[in-house]
Amino acid sequence: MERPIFSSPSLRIFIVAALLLSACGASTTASSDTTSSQSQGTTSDPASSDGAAESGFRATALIRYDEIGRELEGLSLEARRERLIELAKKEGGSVNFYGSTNENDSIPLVKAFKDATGIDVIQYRAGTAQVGQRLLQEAAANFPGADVVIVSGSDAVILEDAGVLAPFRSPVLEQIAEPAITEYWIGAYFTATVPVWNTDLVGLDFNPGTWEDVLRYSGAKAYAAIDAPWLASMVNDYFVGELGLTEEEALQIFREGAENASIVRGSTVRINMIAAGQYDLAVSVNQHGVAGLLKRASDAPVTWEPAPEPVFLNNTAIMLMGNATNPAAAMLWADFVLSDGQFVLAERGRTPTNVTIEGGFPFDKYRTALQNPRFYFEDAAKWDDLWEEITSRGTVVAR
Amino acid sequence: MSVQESAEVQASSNALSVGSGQEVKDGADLRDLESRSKGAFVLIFSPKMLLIGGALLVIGYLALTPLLYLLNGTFFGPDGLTLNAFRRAFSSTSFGSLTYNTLLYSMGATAVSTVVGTALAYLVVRTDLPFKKLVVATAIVPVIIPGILYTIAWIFLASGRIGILNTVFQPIFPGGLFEAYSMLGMIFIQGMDNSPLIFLLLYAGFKSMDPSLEESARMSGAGLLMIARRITLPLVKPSLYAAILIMLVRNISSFETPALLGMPEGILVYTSRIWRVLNRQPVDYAQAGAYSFVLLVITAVGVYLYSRLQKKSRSFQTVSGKGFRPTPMSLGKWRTPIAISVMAYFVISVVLPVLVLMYMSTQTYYAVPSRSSLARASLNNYVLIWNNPTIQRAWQNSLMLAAGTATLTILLTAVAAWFVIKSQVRGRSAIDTVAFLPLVIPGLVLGVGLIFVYLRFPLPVYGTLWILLIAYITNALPYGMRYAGSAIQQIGNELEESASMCGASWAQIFRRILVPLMAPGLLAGWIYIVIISVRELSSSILLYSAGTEVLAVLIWDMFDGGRLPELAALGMVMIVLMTTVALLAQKLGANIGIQEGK
Repeated sequence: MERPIFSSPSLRIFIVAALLLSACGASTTASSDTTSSQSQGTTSDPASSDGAAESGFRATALIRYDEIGRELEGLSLEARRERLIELAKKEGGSVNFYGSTNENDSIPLVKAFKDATGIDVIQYRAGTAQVGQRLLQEAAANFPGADVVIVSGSDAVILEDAGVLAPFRSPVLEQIAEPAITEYWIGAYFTATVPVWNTDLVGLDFNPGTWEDVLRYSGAKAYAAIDAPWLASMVNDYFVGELGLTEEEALQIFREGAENASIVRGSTVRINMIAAGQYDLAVSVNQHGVAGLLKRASDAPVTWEPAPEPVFLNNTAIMLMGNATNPAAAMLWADFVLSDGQFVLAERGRTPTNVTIEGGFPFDKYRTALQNPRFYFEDAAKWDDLWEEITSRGTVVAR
Repeated sequence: MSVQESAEVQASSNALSVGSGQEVKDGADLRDLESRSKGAFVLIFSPKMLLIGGALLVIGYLALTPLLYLLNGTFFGPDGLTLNAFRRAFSSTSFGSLTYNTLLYSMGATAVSTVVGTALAYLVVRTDLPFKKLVVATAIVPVIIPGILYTIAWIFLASGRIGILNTVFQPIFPGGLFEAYSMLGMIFIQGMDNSPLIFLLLYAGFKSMDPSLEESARMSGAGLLMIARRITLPLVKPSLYAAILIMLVRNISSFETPALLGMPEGILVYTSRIWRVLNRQPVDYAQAGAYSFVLLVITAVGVYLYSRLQKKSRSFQTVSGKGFRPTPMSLGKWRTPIAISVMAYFVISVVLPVLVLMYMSTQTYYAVPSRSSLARASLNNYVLIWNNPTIQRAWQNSLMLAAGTATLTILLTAVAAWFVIKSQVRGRSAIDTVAFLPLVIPGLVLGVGLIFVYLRFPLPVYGTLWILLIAYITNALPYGMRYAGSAIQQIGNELEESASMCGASWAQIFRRILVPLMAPGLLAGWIYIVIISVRELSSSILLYSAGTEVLAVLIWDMFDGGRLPELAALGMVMIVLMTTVALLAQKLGANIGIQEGK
């Protein structure tokens, strides 16, 4: 006979487990709180960030950053690079890099860096939110995983507020577009959000019109499953700020548009589905994704032009970790990504933040506006809820 | 006496003899204990007890750690015990519709897999179905294809707008024949994707079944259907219930199909909600935990019902001391129509999706196949994945982890399952429950829990392959227990008892009697665990680090990066390689298990 799985001894096990749980609740709760408050990214928990600042790896790294900074003062970009290479070799000749840039673009970047400096890049690649969460978890356990990081602006804000970053100063910043610079993180490239459509389905001379027209497009269209930061900028800066609508009126446009939309996760997935003909139009995708597809397959029936204005840009930023074990290598990598690395990124269709390098988004053709990650972040729950409400169309039903 | 009566009498007499065997064994155990009571120390530290104790400790540790983490994170806030997480979880989302969608989807898909998988396993093992070898070789293909790819292939086959099948059948069904983006589409595609798992579970069950009962029924003139209903199905009931339960829980916790097919049309289930919550800033782990807890409760109800069913139904030990040579049953006049249906199933579940993948792997982007798109075909994507260093490393990591996980889990659970089923120790069934727990813990939660524990662990586990191995073994425990359990259950006590009477030690019995007899079941379990380990995504995606990337993560990454054609190429390579591995394992297994009657 098979023994029943849920007989009384097993219930006893459950009770014992529950008791154990409440017994060890105190200690584990305390530590998991550290994680959660850190991941909330507010400064309201000085114990976690400051505590970490005083101890171990973090203190050592911050002192080391200062030492290196003083040593490099006044050097030209070229001389600075030579000196950083020497120092990075002394550290061990490699840099631990956590980044959200997709593999197609990060592999050439890493290769160019290694060719130029001889320093190895040990790369952990994952989605931007995941990189951010991992860094917070590692910081909470005082584990030095990354030296240098690339994540989107909204995750950069969280890391900055959690106090795990080190400030970055370098002469290369003189070449970077001013809105891309903050004390702790520097835009490595801009990502433009545009609609994309299938030219076979809607015609070659299709013009989507204004943002309002795009959102209300009546054919088969796709909304993003998660796009709250964009929603925040669109509503606040464009519909309310420029057109003078109320917030509620602006949201209503999104809601009405979503009624006949499919909700599809992933910008590149939406682009692929547009190319395949599943939808006529997707209201928001990354412009470089479309450019990249057209670069690989010029006959793909997709385009994002002419785009409605303003086109919102988002920073994807590079930053140094406050608990880096290879601070010189981290600085070297950041310098590289913001200078020579920008050529590699531009070549892959990304939009450089270094104003001396051309390529990426055609700024001369469109009026652009920069998304403010802090504006979204300060009311993240509200915008997340709104996007969720819009895309669930108020109903969750089985069909 | 009618046919079924005679068969039932035989079956119950079989059960009776098992019962009396049990009593004899109880008596023997008692005497055993008495004679050794002076040397309790010797008893506890005997190799047998050490082995069993060790296995139980490991299982308990692996299974309970993430559960405690989940419960703690969900129910304990900064101010102690709280239900706030549940308030947050169900303030914005209707509990009713989420639960309804989740149950409808998972039960529907389970029904599809169960019917298809069971029928297929029965036909292959117990009848004279033609091209059996082909069926065995290809049956597991859908489960080798990464879940994301299988679903995508089906979007391109059956989407109302661009599905190839809809285009082909348009003259007949102008309104469209299929719609992948619907509840029915989700149920059908997930059901097809998982039917090989049922096939594998029941394949072993049917294989080790004493066919003499069926034969006597047939001799007495019973028809094929009656034999299946009255004799065969009751005999494999333990395996069948276990398979249904596993499938149900798997479907409840599945993510790819609901995300790709349900979410676009607003059909949300718990996993898509959890995904959404984990993508919010700041991440509300407690809220995700609240949803997970509801899943846990739903599953617990399932497990409870399962145990009730198990108790009510008699189960039979079908591997007895009598020699048996399974001879296949003749399908008679049904042979051709059944063979045609089986072929149709393979065309639908294997050939069509693989053809779509093959086509996609030769393109730069997916377009509905046409003369011009076929003219663009190239093997560039295969070159790309061949030259990608991360993919090469991921292959090594994945195969190493999968083989390691499968071997260790099977060893661990074979010992534990023996303890649960054959020993007479009180409370032994608790082990079964504990080993079952990981099934109800979503992979993402397991991942978060393991990161928390091993970031603070004195040994360097975090950031290495070890943490993945721990996650994979935890994840595989329930399956190992089911496979090993079903395999052991069918072995009559008389075999062990006679060996014991002849003076064999427990280790000898385990090695020379139990393991060979369990081999078909254990091997099916091994293959199954290899496959689910290679596919495991939800905890891997949190646990990998630089250098320990695994295939499933890269697949997700390529999908997320929109590199569908490259992904299709990788999928094709996986299909070829993993099918070969599975076939080799089956070949090897045929030599160590019971020899098939020739």
